[in-house]
Amino acid sequence: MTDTGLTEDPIQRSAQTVDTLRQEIKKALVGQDPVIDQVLVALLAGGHVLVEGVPGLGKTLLVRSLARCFGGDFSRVQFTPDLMPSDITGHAIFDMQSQQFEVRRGPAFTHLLLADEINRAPAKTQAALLEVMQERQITIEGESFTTGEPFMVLATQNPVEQEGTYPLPEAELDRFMLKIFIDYPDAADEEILVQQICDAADSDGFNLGQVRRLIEPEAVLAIQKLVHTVTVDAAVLSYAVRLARATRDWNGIARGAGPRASIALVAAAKAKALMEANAFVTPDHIKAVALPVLRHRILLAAELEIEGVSADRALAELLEQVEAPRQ
Amino acid sequence: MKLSRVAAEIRPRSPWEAVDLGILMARRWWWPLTRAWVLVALPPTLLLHLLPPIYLWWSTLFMWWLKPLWERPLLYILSQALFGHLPGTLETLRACPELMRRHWLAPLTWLRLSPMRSMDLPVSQLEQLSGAERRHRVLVLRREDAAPAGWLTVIGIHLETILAFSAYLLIYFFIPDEFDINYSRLLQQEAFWWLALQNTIYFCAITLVAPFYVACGFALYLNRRIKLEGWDIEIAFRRILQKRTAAKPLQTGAGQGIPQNASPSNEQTTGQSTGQDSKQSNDHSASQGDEQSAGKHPGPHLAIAAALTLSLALALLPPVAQAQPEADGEPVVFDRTTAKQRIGEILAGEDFHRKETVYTPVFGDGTDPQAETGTAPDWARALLSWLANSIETIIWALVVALALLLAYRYRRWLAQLSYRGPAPPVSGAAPDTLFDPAASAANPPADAAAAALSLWQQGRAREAVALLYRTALIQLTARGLAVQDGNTEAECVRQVQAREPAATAAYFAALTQLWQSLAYGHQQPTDQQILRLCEQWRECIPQTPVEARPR
Repeated sequence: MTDTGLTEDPIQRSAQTVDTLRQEIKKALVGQDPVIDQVLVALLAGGHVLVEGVPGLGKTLLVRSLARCFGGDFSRVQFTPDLMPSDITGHAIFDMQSQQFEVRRGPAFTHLLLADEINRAPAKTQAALLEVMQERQITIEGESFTTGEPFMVLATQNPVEQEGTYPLPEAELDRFMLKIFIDYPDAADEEILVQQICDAADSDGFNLGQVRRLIEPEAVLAIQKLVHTVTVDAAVLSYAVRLARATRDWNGIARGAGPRASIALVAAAKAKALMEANAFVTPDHIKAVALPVLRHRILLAAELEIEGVSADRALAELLEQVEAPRQ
Repeated sequence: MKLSRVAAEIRPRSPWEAVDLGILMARRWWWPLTRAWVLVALPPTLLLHLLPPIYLWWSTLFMWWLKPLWERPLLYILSQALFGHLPGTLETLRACPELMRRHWLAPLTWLRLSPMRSMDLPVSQLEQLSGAERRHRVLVLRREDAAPAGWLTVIGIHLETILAFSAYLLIYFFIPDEFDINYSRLLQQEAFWWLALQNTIYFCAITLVAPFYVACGFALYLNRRIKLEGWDIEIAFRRILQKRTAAKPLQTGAGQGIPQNASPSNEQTTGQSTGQDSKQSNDHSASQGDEQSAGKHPGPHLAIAAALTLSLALALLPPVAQAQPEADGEPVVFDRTTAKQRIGEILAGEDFHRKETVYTPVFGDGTDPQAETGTAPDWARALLSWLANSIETIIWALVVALALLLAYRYRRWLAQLSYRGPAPPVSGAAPDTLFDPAASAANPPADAAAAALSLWQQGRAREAVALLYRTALIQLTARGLAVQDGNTEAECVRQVQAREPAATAAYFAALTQLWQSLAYGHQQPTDQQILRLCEQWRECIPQTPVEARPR
């Protein structure tokens, strides 16, 4: 890797922009700072996120406020067992008046798509969504349409009600750059949140009134391009690859992460570096994004599953023991 | 003892049938029994609650411990009621001091955990035996039909537990959901009301169980005595005697020797007569077999023994007597020797003996030695022995091979077992791979700042900063900084900030920042930055003699 010759100015400017975005979202979504950070990392790195958490913790609010901040479109699809692929992508319908097929675009034609409880839909519909995530284009009646740019899917899963669900296969989980846990806010934050919602004039249940539109979707695209220019030293790249490879023959992990994990690690670390106004990635950035990048790509050994060891705990041990580059 | 007044039917029962009889007795006299129990047990229980709160949990233990004493009035009531006299509450309470004073030490100490308590209690209380006599008597009683006594204790414990838990659950179900009670904390705390509630529930549980427990034990005891002493036979004989007496006066010499009122004169009216009567019956059973304890006061009971012998003769001998010449229908009169001989013959007969064939498997070398020295030739036996040894060796080899195969098959699983233990303690020593091997091949120079400056002046910026950073880490590690394999530069900085003075921490943070920019960002440091780092080196990084570490 060589120096790209970038001045720090655009990086710093972008970092400031992202910081203002973060502050703006925080106005609406109180007490979920790590979640906001990780969603921004995924947005800047051009990835998708899988959010796991019980209902009512502000997942929709997060997406709506994010969309509002950068003036993007927002769609929400509640996944149900009878949801068809065309309910997401859209379909062609014959118009009797014009005697022609008319394409009706589905909710996937947007910037931010919230796929609520993705594991409630059957595999066919899940696959359709995952295809859209990968290709960023939709083919209806032989004609290809591109989704919005930037495009990010936030799929949610409810960890408590697993009955009657279709758990995502590992191959599909791999398509998500990050898996984020959203937990209850602490007491002080919850008090602020309740106060804000109760004081809000609009009674739609969301405190979106005070979230301003700060940038345009094009600005997000520009920052995404800038992220690609962040320098990654060979040693840091090697560290990311070693981390991903270590999961494959680690005691207690039945199946490790694939090469897509290494790519996601570096991409997310680049976004993280930019958010911290760094023009280069350090091992700390890799380590900071390692848990959300890897936790859904590994399969714990049955013994550890039975003992109730979480993937995070196994990964934390791995991170402690895989040698970090200190040259 | 007035057998004719016994409230229950006197007949030999199977042990569990006797337990049924106990349940019936407890049901019939439930209220007197429970009343007596509460009057006797409640005052000490309440007194126990005067203990200081921190010792209050002892009260439950005391309640359990004193149960054998509290059960005595119940047995007193049962033993009297069974023979037709139900003692009043006052009478029972008056008898209590005497009941509890006698033979109290053993039941509260080494006999407290005896599961046969319910069946043994009558021996101490009603027969008033103690020491070796009691032991001997208990052994005789336990020889048969005693297993349910142990089960009674087991069932009683379970019943008490179930009743107590049911009470807790009942209370729990009555607590509305709106009350947010931390039950785990409740179980740990030692508040007075909570311990008092526990004791109340326990007391109610033992109050419900105790009458049945005592009654069943007493019924087992009675049943055993009915069998040992033939109460049913005695009652049958009395009836025959009464019938014959009513029909015509006894004409035999032996019959004339027995006072007509012998039986009524020996009938006693107190429940304790059961005990005295047992001594008498011991003598009686001594003549028939070995199931007795030596009675000491046979005197007044000789008459009833004689009556029993006569009754026995009347009941059993007629068929035998028919074989004797009877000239004028007069009963045959035996002389003492003939009678003894006849009795001996009858006792030796089949009626008094039982033959049982018991098959017991014999393990080990149970072969008949005669069979071994049979007709088989030596070579055949040697061959068989060799064959057996070979098969045994092969089987063992197979077992070992199977174990090895399983260990090999599941080696990954076994290796994962090592993961489960707690993480090894973090040692203060730096890991072997603190640095890149190529970079750390040389030992740190004595004056790192000068060496770094020299490298910088030669245009080797990366080596200069690397030298400073590496030496700083070595120095800090020597001062106790614990660097793990997985620690990144920022984590090292945080550790240094936590344990080193502010100046050192600030210097190390600046050095790390410069190092990262150079190493990962490929940004060249300025002269000024390098000079400042070299100047501040001595004052900010404490110099500790470091031994050269072999790589």
